[in-house]
Amino acid sequence: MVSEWIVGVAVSAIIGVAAAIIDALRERWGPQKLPQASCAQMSETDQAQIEATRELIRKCFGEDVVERLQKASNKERIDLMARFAEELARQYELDIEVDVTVSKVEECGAYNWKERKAVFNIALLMVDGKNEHFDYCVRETLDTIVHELRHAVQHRAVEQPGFWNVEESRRLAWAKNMTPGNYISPKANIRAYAAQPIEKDAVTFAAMVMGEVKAK
Amino acid sequence: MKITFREFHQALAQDGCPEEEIRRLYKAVKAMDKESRGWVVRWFCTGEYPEREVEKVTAEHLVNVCGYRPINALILLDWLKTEPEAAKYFAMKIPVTLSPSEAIGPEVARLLEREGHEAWDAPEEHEDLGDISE
Repeated sequence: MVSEWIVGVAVSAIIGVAAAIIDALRERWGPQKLPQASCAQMSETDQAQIEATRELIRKCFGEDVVERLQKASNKERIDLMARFAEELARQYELDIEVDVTVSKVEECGAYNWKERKAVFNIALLMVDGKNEHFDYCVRETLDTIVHELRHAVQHRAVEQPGFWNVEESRRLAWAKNMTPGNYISPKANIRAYAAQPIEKDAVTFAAMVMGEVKAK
Repeated sequence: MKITFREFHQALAQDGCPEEEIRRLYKAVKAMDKESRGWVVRWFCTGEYPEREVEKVTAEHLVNVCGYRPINALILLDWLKTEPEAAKYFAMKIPVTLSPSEAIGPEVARLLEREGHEAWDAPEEHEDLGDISE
């Protein structure tokens, strides 16, 4: 109990910094939706997996994700997210390791291509459920889990033609994007980052899942 | 005021920016409209950020509060002018995708070659990128 309180205090300090950055843009812009023109095309298999992902979210968190997590303790939130991430990796038929941690908030999660491991940082959820940004934190955390696991799907599709019925032209575009010098980091050029095949695809897939997820 | 590719290359290489990224950034700046190109040239030559506010943010705010690198902040400001909804959506994400190019790039390139595909476009080392002027 004491250790949970210490973690809570330390993480609140980290959240304070992140919230200031998020505040800085959210206060100016409010919640944003991915415009249609920026979306990648989704196949029938993708559409079915998007629906299955929403169903899994309902199964793990109930009809209202924000409400469910608001009522949960920090430990329960970690357990709920870990269970969701593991079940989603299984549902996507991914032979990867999944880990959920709480660390500095600049890193919400990442798929480690070399080690085939997805690590999700749920520091964003270690805030008071009454925090005015709690709904954003929940959506961002779930979006990240779906986004990073989509990268794992891309990885397997490149190695195993036919996985998820990915068309050959799309598979080749993803593969080429993964080759040396062809991946663009968001820290270098945010606009080019958003336009490259694997990111455009992962962002669209996650946005389509989250679009129908009920959260206040 | 203007920037030559050589000057741009030298400045970014000193900051540890990889070769292909420098070329991509240079082309991105060249493709901007006159006003945005002017922002980059003035920042590059004088260190000054534009005062212009786009969608309620300035370049200085993006650098000092949101932690953007200066050129990336100017790219975002330019994007906010042309595609505000998309730019805002991506700016409010906290993306930390590890680079597949660094982690598995050579392996994927070998896979593509085995399948008979070109792994990547040959770098255009002698391509004349020209200058960037206001």
